Amino acid sequence: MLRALSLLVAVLATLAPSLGASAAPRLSSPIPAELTSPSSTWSATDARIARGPAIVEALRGPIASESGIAPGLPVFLQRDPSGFVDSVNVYAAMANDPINNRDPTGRDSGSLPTIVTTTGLLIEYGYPIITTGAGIASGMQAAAMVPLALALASVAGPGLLLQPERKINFTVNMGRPSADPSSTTPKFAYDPATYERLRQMYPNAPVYYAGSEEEAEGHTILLRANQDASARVAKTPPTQQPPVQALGDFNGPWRADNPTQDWGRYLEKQGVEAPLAMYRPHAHHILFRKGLGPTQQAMVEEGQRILRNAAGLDPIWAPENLVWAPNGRGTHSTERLAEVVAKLKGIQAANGKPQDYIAALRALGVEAAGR
Amino acid sequence: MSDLELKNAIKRAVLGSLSVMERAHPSDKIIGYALCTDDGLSTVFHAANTPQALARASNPSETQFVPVDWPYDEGAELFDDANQILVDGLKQATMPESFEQHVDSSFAQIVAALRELREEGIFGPDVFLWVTSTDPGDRLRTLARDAARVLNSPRQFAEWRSIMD
Repeated sequence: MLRALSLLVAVLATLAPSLGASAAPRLSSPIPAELTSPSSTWSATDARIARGPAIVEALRGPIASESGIAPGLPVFLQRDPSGFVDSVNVYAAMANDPINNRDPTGRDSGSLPTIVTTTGLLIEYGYPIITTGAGIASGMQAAAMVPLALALASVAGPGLLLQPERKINFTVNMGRPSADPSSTTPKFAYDPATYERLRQMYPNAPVYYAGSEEEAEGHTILLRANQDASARVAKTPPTQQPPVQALGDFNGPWRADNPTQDWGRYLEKQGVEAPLAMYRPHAHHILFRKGLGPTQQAMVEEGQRILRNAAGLDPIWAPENLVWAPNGRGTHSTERLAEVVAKLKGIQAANGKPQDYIAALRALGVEAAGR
Repeated sequence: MSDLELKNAIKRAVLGSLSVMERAHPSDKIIGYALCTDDGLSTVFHAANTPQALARASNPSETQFVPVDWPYDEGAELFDDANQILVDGLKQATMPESFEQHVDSSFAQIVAALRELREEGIFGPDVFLWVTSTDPGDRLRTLARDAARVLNSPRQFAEWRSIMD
């Protein structure tokens, strides 16, 4: 096992020059020693909290740390609490198969399925899982994909992969490879199926959309734990899934509105074409985008606050809030808007879950499309 | 698409819609007429307001400037030609720059059509005219503000600003 680890370090050392400092900003401080030390005391809480930032930082940082343990690898940075369940290597994870297995508590033997099998970068509960689409990946193969991860990190921007605070941030690129065979750089297109699976898996996750049209093509979902996640996790039996994450502290980042956005093409890029039989179709924000007049604008702001804070949805860019609908009398009436906002407030009053908001938006969208 | 083609299609549709609405509501007098579009300038339809309708509004001072709450839209199909011109124009606007040009020039032609009809005496001086997106972002909000200014008297525009701007 030591030989395998040495081999990995050697591979990474080979890769290091090609990554270069320009691929992603380097950390100003090294990874904290306690996160890379094999002698650290392990607990489920520690694993959840510590690994996320550590590995995220590792993706942005130097390819090999001073301690000699290679950051960026999809292996535990600390001992597996379950001992030798996965491997005789107590630093192995998910039975060395991060594609088909998942281990959010650190105590499973690798029986949970991963949620992404398409190409992309998945950092799930602190584990970076880098897939090739054709399946993955031993640690070495994954290490070879580190440049891709860095490229994604570079595209996504430092604000996305590494928040200023040391909170837990999970970033998932849920794209799939571009179909363009002439493309020499990784490009990602939106994959509705993957998106839907992610939404089901993380119903409380606030969705963050990238800051440019190019980034938006590889939609990114930012899953962020609340500030007291450690306390919640500590109370959770290790064999259970972690509690649904509260979103009350989530204040963004939300993608700014684009005053010259072609919303029809944006919707088409989500894979939703305008129905051929629809009369005067337009890309319609179910909860209006701005509203017309002060009354509507106040209602819109109230509804948008609910969508952001309670549903984790970006009311401007989230596909859940967009639908093709006829543009005509009634579609944008104040009465109609009041119905939409009342629906959202009702769900909020009933402590609804994010999927309740999504279901309501879907129903409201069907109504709008049928007008 | 030529700008003239869109403007003329709009003018024909507006005139036709006024006739249809007059037949449908012979005792009503129009006090507001607006052409509504979307932020991509892919659609256009009309809405009209009357004192009778305004009297039923819960907030008439605001409703008089919110055409999405106006009740009359008879003759919507008369705008089909103009809608097709907009759709065709948008299809050709594949680049961001051409999209913005499509939005700006199409909006300008719709405003020009209403302005010419005002100058031709089709609308009386007290009728509030407007072109707006139904859910305007900042860009369309700016264009709609300009439209309110050029289509109405300074007094009407000042009143509009006091409520909507």
